[in-house]
Amino acid sequence: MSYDVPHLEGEEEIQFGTTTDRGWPRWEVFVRQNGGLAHIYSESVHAADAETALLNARDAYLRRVEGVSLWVVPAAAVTIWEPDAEDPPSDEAEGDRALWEIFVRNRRGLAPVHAGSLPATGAGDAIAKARDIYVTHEEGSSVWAVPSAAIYAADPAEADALFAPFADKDYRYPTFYEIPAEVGYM
Amino acid sequence: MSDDLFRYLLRLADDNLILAQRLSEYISSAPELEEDLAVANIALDHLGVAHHLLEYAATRDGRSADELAFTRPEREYTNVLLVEQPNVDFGHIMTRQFLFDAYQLGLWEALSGSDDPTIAGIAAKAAKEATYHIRHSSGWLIRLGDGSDVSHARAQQAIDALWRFTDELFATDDLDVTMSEAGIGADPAGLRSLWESRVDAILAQATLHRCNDPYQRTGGRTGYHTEHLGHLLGEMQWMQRAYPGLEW
Repeated sequence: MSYDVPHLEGEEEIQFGTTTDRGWPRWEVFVRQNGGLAHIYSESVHAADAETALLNARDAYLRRVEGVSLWVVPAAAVTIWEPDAEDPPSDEAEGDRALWEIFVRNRRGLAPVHAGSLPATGAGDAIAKARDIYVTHEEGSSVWAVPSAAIYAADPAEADALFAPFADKDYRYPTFYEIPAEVGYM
Repeated sequence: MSDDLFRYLLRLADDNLILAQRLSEYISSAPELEEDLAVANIALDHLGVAHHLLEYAATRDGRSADELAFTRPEREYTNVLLVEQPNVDFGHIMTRQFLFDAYQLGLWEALSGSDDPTIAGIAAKAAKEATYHIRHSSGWLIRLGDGSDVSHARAQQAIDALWRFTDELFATDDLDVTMSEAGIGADPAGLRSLWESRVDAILAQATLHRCNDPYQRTGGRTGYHTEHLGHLLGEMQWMQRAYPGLEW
């Protein structure tokens, strides 16, 4: 069924954001699951702003896991250091310090996990410190540094609306659906 | 009395069933994949509420919940006209959703205190979902209204087109009176002032305004629908009509 969409004057002139590949910028999503100790990276969403990113992340990534906390952060605010890369550029050691959140990915293929936060003068300083504090044993670890201020988090007071509605929807799991005998092994 | 409860459950269910179908039609057409997920998710919430209400209604009727959902003729659907209005554009979809969310949030909050424990239970869960729905739809209305000239114009167009279906949300009939006096239902008229304050607050942020035209249409509660519902039902019902009793 289709309906005529009214055409408005000047519509062709709409310009979206500053990115060229997609309409909206990318946001990285971190979920802490029920019983989980830390926020874990859960891929990304595209959204026009932080609020939309948070709601989109809820719909995309909390359907199959029981989340209790949700963070989104602009992808552009994430600095990633890979172990085979050169040492991160050092920041001015005397600069103003801000709080940074550190995520560590222990092996390729695993999701980065929130390790903690530390004060740093910039991304390079944050990563250098994080390597000392959080990456003592795992040689292959990569480090993500995010300014704490760039994180948009779900308000715990809104947990009922954000997280509870998934609990009674068991059809969100593939195991809800019975596979007819004729299908055999899938 | 049993028949009154049945009819009351049916109108609550139909609002959600028809809106779920409308939103589902839009899946794959949203501006971004993520928004498709959001719309699908909201549609599923409404479908879930309709399912619970129809299962309850079915205990007071010879028909099953599926039969109630898929085999009634158009005149027996008692949803409000607002939810059957077409998906003209994203602005219409979010405006329709917002106007309805603001109504349903108040409704579910009121029905959470129903003397009927099944209705109270469904309402308590639905209120959580409605809290999320209105956060999503009001965010979009603000973004569109306070956005570009084009998005503002489209959002105001949607308000103007849909405002005529808002009086019906709060029209009280004999059934509403009976059910609210029995402590089971909520008198729609009593939900209006909260709805107006919620709607006006968001419209102000969105730099939008109420429609100036006082014209209003009603009829959904007695089965007199706009021309759009028949087409919606044609698509929604054809499989059960073609293959009665079909199950996955």
